[in-house]
Amino acid sequence: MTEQRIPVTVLTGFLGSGKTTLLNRILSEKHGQRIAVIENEFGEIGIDQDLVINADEEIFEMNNGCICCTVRGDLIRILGNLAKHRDKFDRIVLETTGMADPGPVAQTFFVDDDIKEEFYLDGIITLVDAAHVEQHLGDSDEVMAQIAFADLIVLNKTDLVSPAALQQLSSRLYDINKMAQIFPANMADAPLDKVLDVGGFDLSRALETNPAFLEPEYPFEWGGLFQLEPGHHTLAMDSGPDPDMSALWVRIDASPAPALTEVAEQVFRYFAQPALPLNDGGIMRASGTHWKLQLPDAATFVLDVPTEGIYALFTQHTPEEFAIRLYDKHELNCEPVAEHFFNAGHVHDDEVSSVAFEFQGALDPEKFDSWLSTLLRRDGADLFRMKGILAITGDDRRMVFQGVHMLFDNKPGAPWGAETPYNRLVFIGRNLNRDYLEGALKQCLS
Amino acid sequence: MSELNSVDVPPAHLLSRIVLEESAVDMAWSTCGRWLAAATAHGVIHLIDSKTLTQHAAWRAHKQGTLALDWHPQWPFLASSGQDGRVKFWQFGDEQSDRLLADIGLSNDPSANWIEHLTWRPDGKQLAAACGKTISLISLDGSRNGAYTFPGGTVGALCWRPQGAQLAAAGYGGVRIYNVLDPRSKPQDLNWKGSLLSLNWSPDAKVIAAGCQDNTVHFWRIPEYRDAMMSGFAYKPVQLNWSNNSRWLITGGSAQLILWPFDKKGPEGRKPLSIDFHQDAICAISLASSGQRLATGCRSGQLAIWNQIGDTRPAWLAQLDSRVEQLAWSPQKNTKLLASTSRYGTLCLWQAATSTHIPAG
Repeated sequence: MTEQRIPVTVLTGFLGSGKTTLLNRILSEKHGQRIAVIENEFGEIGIDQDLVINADEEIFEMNNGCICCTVRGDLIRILGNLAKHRDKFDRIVLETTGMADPGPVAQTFFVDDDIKEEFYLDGIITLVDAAHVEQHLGDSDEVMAQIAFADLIVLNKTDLVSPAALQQLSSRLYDINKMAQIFPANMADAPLDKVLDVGGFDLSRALETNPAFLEPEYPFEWGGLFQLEPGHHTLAMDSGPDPDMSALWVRIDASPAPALTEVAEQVFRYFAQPALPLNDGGIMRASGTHWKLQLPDAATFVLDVPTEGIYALFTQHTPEEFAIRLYDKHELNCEPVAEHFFNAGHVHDDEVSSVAFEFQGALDPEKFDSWLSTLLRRDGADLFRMKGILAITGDDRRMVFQGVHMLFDNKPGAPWGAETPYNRLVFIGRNLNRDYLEGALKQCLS
Repeated sequence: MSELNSVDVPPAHLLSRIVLEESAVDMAWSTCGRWLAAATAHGVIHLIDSKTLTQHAAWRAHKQGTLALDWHPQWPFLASSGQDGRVKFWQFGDEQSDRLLADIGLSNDPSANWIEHLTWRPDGKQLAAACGKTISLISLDGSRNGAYTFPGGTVGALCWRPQGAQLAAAGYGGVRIYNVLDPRSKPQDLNWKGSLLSLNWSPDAKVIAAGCQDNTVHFWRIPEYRDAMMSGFAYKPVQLNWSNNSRWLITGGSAQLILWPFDKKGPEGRKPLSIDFHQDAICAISLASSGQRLATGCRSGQLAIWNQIGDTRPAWLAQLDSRVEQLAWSPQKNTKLLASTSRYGTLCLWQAATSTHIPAG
C-alpha cells in the first residue's frame, strides 16, 4: 500500500555539530521534495523559505508520570495545523535544539493518534562534531541519548581529526548504537537521498538499512602489517587511558600477505588464550602469544623479527591512544604497509550502549510476550530503542518489531520461505546486561 | 450513498457547496446570523452571505496562514489572527467590501508568533488573544490594554466566563482564571498535571471542563473547584458542548456521542448517556442556539443532524468528501441552517430538512 502520510525527518545534534548546515543543504539542493521546517533551534536559515515555523520545545508529561506518555506538545500543535495544508509540502524537517531528548519526539509519533494518522517519523538524524564530541560522550545525557536514538549518524567535521581518531570515534559510536548507519562528512555533506529516506521507524524496512549490524566484534581495535628486515625492532608506547593493553605480534607466512581482516580471523583465537604480562623492556616473540603489556608509564618492548617478512601487530586500543611507534635497528620509524581498525567488543565504558543478538530457533510467542512486557515495564525508561526480526513458533512469517522506551510495535513480515528462520535483535539503552538479555531471550525459545 | 441508505435516515438538504482553496482552520457565524466566515490554513478568509448562500468575498487576511476567527458579540465585526503574529479587525456591510479596521502586532518573538486563540469578552469590550504563552487583551480600537503570561507554556485554549469578565486559559498543567477587571487580583489556578487542549464553561458558570491530550475530560466545579475526570475516549475529546441549561456536557472523541449528566448529582459514579450511531470517532459537534438541535461530524466524513439532545437516531445524514473539520449552526433563533467544512476544503450549507434530491458530487 502506498504511504499517504507525510514523512518527518528529525535533525538532532549538540550545538555546533552542523544541524543548520545540513538543514540548509536539504533546503537548497535539488531533491524534488518541498520541505516544511519546524525549528526549535533558532539559527540562521540561509535561504528564503516560506514554510519555516519556529517553536519552543514543549515537553508534556501526562498525569500518570509514565515516561512513554511524555510527548512534544509543540509538535502536536504545529503538525496538527500543517496537516490542514498538506498539499503544500512533501516532507517536514524538524531541527531540534542541541539539548533535545529525542525520546519524546519519537513517542509523539507512537502515541498521538492524530499525528499517527497524518505523519510518520522517517528517521532521526544525529549530527556529531567529530572534533569535539569526545568531551561530551559519557558525561552528557543529551548527547548520549541523541546518538542512541539515531537511525543515521552524520559524523561531521572529519577533516579536523586524524583517520585513527575518526576510526576510534566511529567505533565508540558503533558501541553506543549498533543500529545506526554512520556517514563521515565535512560541512554536513552526507548523501541527501540517504538522509531523506531513512525508513528508520518503518517496520517493513526493519534492519535493512543497517549493513554494519552484527559485524563481528574483535578483542582488538587495530591491526597493522609491517614489512621488516631481520634484527632488533622496538615497540614504543606512551601511557594511555588504561594501565595495560593486550597485544599480539605474529609473523605472517603467506605470500602475498592476506588482507588484515582475514588475518584477524586467524589470530582471533590467540586472544582467547590467557594473557602473559610483559613489562617494560620485555621481548615479544612473533609466535602469536597474547601479551598484556604493562603500561603504568611509557614503555618499550623488543619485537622479535627472526627473518625478513611480513609481521602483524594487533593492539587492544588504537595506536593514537598510546602513541604507538615501531622503530627498526637504526631507530627509524617503520610505517605499516596496511592497517585496519576493527569494531572492538565493549572496550568503552559508556553507560549507554547497544547489544545485538542473532540466533536460530523459534520463539514461543507467549513466553516472549511475557518476558518482553516485564522487561519494558521494569527497564523501559533505560531502553531507548529496540528493533528486530523474530522467528515465532507456528508462524511461517518473520515477525518484525521495534520499540521506543516502553512503547512497542510489531507486525508480520515476509514469509521465511526456504530460508532458515533466525532471530536478530538489537537493544540500545543504558546499563544493558548482555548476558541477562541473551539468556532470557534464549529461555523464550520453544 | 449505500451507507446512508443502510441506516435508513434521510439525507440532509444541501443548500450550497463552496470549494475553499484548502482546509478551513476556523469557521464562525456573525452574531446577526447574516455572515459566515471561514479561514484557511493558507491565510484566506472566505465570507459567505447567508441571504444569497454564496461567497460574498474572499481575501488574503494573513501572510502565513490564518489560525483563528471570532465575531464580535454585538456587531458584524470580525477578529482574525494568524501565523504572522498579528490580530486584524474587519468590518462588513451590504455595500462595502471588507474593510480592515485594525492591524495589531502581538509578537516579536520568532519562537512564538502563532496567535492560535481569539475570543471576545461576552460584553464585547475586549478581545483576548493567545500568542504562545502570552495572553493579550485588546480593546475595540485595537490598543492592547493588558497581558498575562500563562505558566504552563503555550496556551491551549481560552474561554470567558458566561456573561462575565473572568478569562480562563488552559494549557499544560491546568487552567488559570484571570479577573480582567482587576488586573492586580491573584489569578485562580486549577492545577492538573496534564496537557489541556480545549475548554468550555457551562452556561450557568458552575463547571469548567477541559479536553485533554491523554484522551480524558477534566472538570472543576465552581466555586469550590472540586475536580474530577472522565476517561474512556478513543481520541482526544476536544469537542465539549454544554446544553443551554448546563444539564449535559456533550463530548466527541469516540464513535459514541456521550452526554454526561451535570444535574444536581453530577456525572460522578453515574453512567453517561451513550448514543451509538457513528461508525467512526466524532470530531465536530455543534449545538444550535435553541439548545435542542445538534449536529455531529466524524473522521470518516459522516455528518448527522439530530432533532433533540438525547435522540438515539439522527433526523438527517450527509456524507462529506473527507473528515468533518467544523460544524456551526447559524445563531438565529430556531435556525435550520448549518455550515460544515471538510478536511479537503469543501464548505457546505445545509438545511435541517429532508432533501428533495441527492446532491451530486
